[in-house]
Amino acid sequence: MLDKFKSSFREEAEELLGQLESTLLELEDAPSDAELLNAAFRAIHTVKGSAGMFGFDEIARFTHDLENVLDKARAGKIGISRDFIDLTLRGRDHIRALLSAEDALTEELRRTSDELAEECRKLAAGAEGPGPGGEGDDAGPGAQVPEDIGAGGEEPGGSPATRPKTYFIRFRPGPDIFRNGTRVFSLLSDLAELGECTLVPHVHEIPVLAEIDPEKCYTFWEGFLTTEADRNAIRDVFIFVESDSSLTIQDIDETQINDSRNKRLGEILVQYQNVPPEEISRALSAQKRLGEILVEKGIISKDTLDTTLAGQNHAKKIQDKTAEAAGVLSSVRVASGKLDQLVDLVGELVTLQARLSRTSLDLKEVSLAAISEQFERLIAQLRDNTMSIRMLPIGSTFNKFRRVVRDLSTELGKEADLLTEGAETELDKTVIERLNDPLVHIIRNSLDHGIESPKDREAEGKPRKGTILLKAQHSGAYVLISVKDDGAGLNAEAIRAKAVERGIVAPGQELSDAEINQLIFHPGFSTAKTVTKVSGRGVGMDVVKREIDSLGGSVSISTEKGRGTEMTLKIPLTLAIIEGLLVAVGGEYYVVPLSSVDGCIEIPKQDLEKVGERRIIPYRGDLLPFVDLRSYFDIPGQTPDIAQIVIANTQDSRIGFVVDNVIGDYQTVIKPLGRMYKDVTGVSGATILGDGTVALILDVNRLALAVQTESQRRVQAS
Amino acid sequence: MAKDPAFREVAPVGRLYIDTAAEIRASLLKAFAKPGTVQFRWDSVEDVDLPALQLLYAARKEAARAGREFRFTGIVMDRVASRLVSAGFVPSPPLSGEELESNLAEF
Repeated sequence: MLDKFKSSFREEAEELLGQLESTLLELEDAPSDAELLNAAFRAIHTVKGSAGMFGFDEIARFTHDLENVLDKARAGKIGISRDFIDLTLRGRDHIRALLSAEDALTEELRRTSDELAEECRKLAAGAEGPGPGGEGDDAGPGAQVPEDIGAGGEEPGGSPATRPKTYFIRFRPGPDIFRNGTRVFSLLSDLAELGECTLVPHVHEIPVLAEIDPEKCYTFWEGFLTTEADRNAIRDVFIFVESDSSLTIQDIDETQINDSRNKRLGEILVQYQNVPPEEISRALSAQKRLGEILVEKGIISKDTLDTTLAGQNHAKKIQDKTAEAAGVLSSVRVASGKLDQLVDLVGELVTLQARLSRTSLDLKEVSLAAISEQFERLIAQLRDNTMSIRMLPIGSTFNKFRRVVRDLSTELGKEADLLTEGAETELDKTVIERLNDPLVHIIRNSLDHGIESPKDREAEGKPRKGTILLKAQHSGAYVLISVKDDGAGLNAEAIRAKAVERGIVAPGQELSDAEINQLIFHPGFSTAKTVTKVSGRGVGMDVVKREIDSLGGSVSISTEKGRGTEMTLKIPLTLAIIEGLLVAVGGEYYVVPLSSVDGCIEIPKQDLEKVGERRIIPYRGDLLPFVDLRSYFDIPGQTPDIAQIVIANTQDSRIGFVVDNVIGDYQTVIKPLGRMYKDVTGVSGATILGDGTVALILDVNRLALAVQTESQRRVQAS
Repeated sequence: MAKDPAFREVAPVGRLYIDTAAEIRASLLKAFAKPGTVQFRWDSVEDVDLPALQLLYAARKEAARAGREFRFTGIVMDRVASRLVSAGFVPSPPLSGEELESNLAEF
């Protein structure tokens, strides 16, 4: 059981340390922001407390000194300098290292702990002299945490100022309230807008119709309002009627609210309605309990009553625990492996549903078809909900890169800022995890090769400090992630020369700018004159391309000499289930991702034969290349007299796929290809159809590239 | 229902604020002055405030005292329904007079 808690602690600590890193980097840019400093302190304070609780003694010991430094900074005794940020970031990194080391602490880790702790103590000690008052407030492990963010006031989910409070409200309008034109229901609508409001109207004083004065108020209200607004805001609702009405606004503390859920009516009446307790006791003693009545009448036995009451108490205890958990957590932490399992199961359900749908069609059974349709709708909802659970904002990854830029620019003697846009853009968690390394490569390259030294930038008339813009945005079923720097841009001549030197292109071979740019993705390509530990080994960009390809995405480059380079990654939103267009060629089935499909056309077979080797067809006033899947995948049989062509959008143009038959939309559960097929060009995965047949998922971009290469080869050969 | 010769209907139109209260009371009293079921129609009520609602409670008490029947009918407009919800008279917006009648607090 303790292992389970330890594992939860590690997860939470990782999350807190991630937040701490971005907070410290923000603090470096805004050193006077007290809220950021408080947030950093809170993170480290929580890590320290939990570490001690779960037996991570080394972390608790080390974190205490780091916390002390942050506390001194909060007290204004230590200034926020680059050195301060450096130390706290190194401290944060060390805690991560201690977390990863688990129980196997190496001598080196212990030494680092001691060294960093000593640095922290020196910094804290140095703060004692010049600080205001200079009192020794060295907070030991058991010392009081400052009041505003200490254990009592700590608000992981939000600051106390915005936390909703609950009020008991009693509003008794004056009898003549209508006569001055007040509309009571409007007041109550305004009150309800302040938050969660539960009002109970009391109408027992209303007389019969013959006796009622239609212009007199007989009604009053009592109830509860949970709101972020303060008492004055509530009072403002009644500001114009307060003089001739009675208004009570009473704070309710949280424990009272929670208690009310399980309190008996009598207890609540005593607490809120000023009913004397003795009156409640008197009323209760005059009545018999239900259980007693049932036992007396012989309907149940005393044993049955006792057992039932025990069950009731037990249920109450369980309910309390559940309510407590619900009160603390606004979200649930779930192991990512469980989410993956859920997606796999949904995938199996989708496949099973396809079988059901197929069977119902074959059997022509109306009632089965109706069930199948309903099942399909439910599965689609389940699929969407499940996929949405896996969606995470990409901002969590973006934050890591701020640190990369900071550390790397220092190391390279350059100055650069990382700006981000679209951090809230959501992407499948698996995709986000796999994007980390490619993005690190690209950003490192931007800093190493793109951004010039401050001296060179000034000579070029640029600001000393370079900028890297990391941006994410949705584009249909894809997310576009771009890394744009304002550096020197790609050097086409240098790239070309290096490609010739490496035998990648022939001397004198004509290449467009786009083709030259693409050469940097060639394995082993590097133009850096010196191999640095950052880049220049030529192992970066080809790895990036391979990883992005394996994600079913693409990379494009635009560059301008002296102005900078922009690399754009086009990434599918998810890797698990996609909408596809199912097509057939001979006895084989293929899926074209629906997000790529531009349209479908029919063309007589003889027209296709006429174009021969040129393989170009007219489409919407344009000429498009096409690939005949039958010949590409070497499938036996003849093209039908009327061929179908699926037009798909590629990275930078469109391409047609000649197929025998377009079957229709298909929810495609993506299954990875086995090792044997990993090098097959033009196929990115497979899926299982309703009847158990395997359909291959086409990699539209790869196919387009293959066709383009083949076409160039033919042109050169001729 | 319309075939019942002793059927009395009160069907006010527009916004039932304080300025219409005396008039509604008079209509209700008139309806109760004759024998039979009294029905209040919500179709044309665009908004409502407490004076009118108090009259309906009073009418209900009147009916109970006299052993008569007092009912709601018609469609309840969204605005009226939301007023009644925010004032705590019904837990959720009623669609019809019948639904309002069965859910109106202490009615």
